[in-house]
Amino acid sequence: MAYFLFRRTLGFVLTLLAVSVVVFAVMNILPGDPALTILGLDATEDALAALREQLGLNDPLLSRYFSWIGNALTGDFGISHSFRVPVSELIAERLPMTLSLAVAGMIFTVILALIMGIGAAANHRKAGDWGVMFLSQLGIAVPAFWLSMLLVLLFAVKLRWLPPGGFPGWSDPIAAMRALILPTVALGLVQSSVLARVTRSSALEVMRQDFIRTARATGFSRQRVLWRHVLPNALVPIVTIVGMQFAALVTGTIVIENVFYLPGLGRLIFQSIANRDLPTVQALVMLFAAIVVTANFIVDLLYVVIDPRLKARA
Amino acid sequence: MFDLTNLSVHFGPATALREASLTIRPGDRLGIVGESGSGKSMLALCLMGMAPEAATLSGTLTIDGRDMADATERDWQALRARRVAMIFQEPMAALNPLSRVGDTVMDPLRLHLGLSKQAARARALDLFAEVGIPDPEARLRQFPHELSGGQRQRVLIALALACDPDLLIADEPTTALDANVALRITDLLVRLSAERNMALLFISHDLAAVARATSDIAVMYGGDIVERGPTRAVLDSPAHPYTRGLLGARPSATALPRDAKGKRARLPTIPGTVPGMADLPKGCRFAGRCPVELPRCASERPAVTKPGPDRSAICHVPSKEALA
Repeated sequence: MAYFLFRRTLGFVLTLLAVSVVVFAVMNILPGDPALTILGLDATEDALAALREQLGLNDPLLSRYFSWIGNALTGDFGISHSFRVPVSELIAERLPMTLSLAVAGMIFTVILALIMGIGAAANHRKAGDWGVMFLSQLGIAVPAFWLSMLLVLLFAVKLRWLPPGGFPGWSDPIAAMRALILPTVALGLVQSSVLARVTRSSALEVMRQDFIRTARATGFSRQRVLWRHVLPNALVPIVTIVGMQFAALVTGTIVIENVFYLPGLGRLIFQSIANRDLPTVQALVMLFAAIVVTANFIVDLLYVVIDPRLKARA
Repeated sequence: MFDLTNLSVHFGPATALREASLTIRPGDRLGIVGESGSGKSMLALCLMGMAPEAATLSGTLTIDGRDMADATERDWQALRARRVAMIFQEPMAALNPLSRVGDTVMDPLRLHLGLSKQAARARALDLFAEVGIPDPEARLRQFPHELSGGQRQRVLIALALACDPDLLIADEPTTALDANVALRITDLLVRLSAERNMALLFISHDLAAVARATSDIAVMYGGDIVERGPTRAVLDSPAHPYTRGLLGARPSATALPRDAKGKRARLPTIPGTVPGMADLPKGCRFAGRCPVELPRCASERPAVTKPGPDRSAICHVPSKEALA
């Protein structure tokens, strides 16, 4: 067990390191001169040279990588070219927004998918099952940005139940949650459609097994058998997909935050790319990657919590 | 008391069980033998109210005088574990792999009997001791994969006994176990049945285990109960040709005789294979494989004959030896 933890943690750290190398390399191989971007086309050659020297662009690639990664470890991602403030400040300001949205999306995805998936499996080859399969097919096929616009048109413009966009901040939790409802649905619906299907097939697989018959023979109600015996045993594939979906939800915030005017990292990365704000983009890509790698690391640990047989092998 | 009268189970045109009649009283130890597909597991599932949804049932099943024809799933849930419990063939697969075996056994105690956690734990310890699980304290906390096959079967027996049922159905309880473990489990079931005055329905294709465990026997073939009676009498002088075939196909400890060329004789078998549920002959199900078949056997269902006290057989040509 200790060895398993050590191996997984080492893998986690090495993956992050590899990601940082790739991110840095890609950003610095890209054509374009940051100094030129900052100062504009009218800048004099002397000014450009001075700025390049100040930004450290003349240093060898390797030493630039190490100073970037070293500073990043202390929370210093440099100064944003376009906002003229430290990138870490930009991130600190916007991270709660994006995390709120991603976590809300994840909760929505998991709850909806488990109810739909288990419900479909319990009604295998009946109307409920067909209904879930049809709706989830629809959910997978609909693009998130288009769904977002439909949701805004219906619930914000026509019915006026919910705000069409923007985020008031968590100082007013009710208003914050109301503002998050439509983005959460738009973000999570595709993922929950996928997850509902995974849940359904995984549950059907488990329901064929002997211990489910034992549970029924012990006089437990169908609901209890489903939620206490089928679902836990169906969790390993579900958790695998959930881990990958968290990554998709975090990156999905880029589109959703732009549609709903939410001041989060997704909007920031979009603006930074448009502004060729290299330090900000580099920090954000690294951050998104780190969130994804962390999610997968947690999933790896969850397997062992779910299945005691894996602990024995781990 | 469990009473089946002419219980039949159909899957569309196919018949899984044909007009089975049985009575099970407290303390009875009834064996059911037959090949795979003979309907013995279907009979057991009917007694649990767990026949597959696709099945159509006819005939009557009464439990303590109550006709179960219109029983709902909820009615059955109230009977399972408390009145009738079942253990299955594969102890390796029959326990929830994610649940500690102690929790598995404590679940029905807490849910059905409303015991507190401490009381359920104490009861589970007693049950583990009763079914012969050594060091029950430590076992309670273990997962199924940490136990041997025999230990798991004992856990399943403890689970089945948890709510003190009147009838314990054991569907091939020893088939997946080593021979010596199988013997001990068989003896355990007999002892529990006697001590608790609990009826035991022992389903097996192992004639030796059935002979050891039961006082009465029902032999099934193709969905029919072809012969039944006291275990000893039926096995000593089988009336139905199928029962004779089963007994003849049993390997024995003594070597089979050699023929003139010095070649060892082969173990006799029943010729042919069991037809599918949909292809069974209309009359006697054994027609086509029977060594003493008459022309009418395939089309005409034999009447019930009484080859001896408390015995019955469905055959046009029951063994004269048994009838005498």
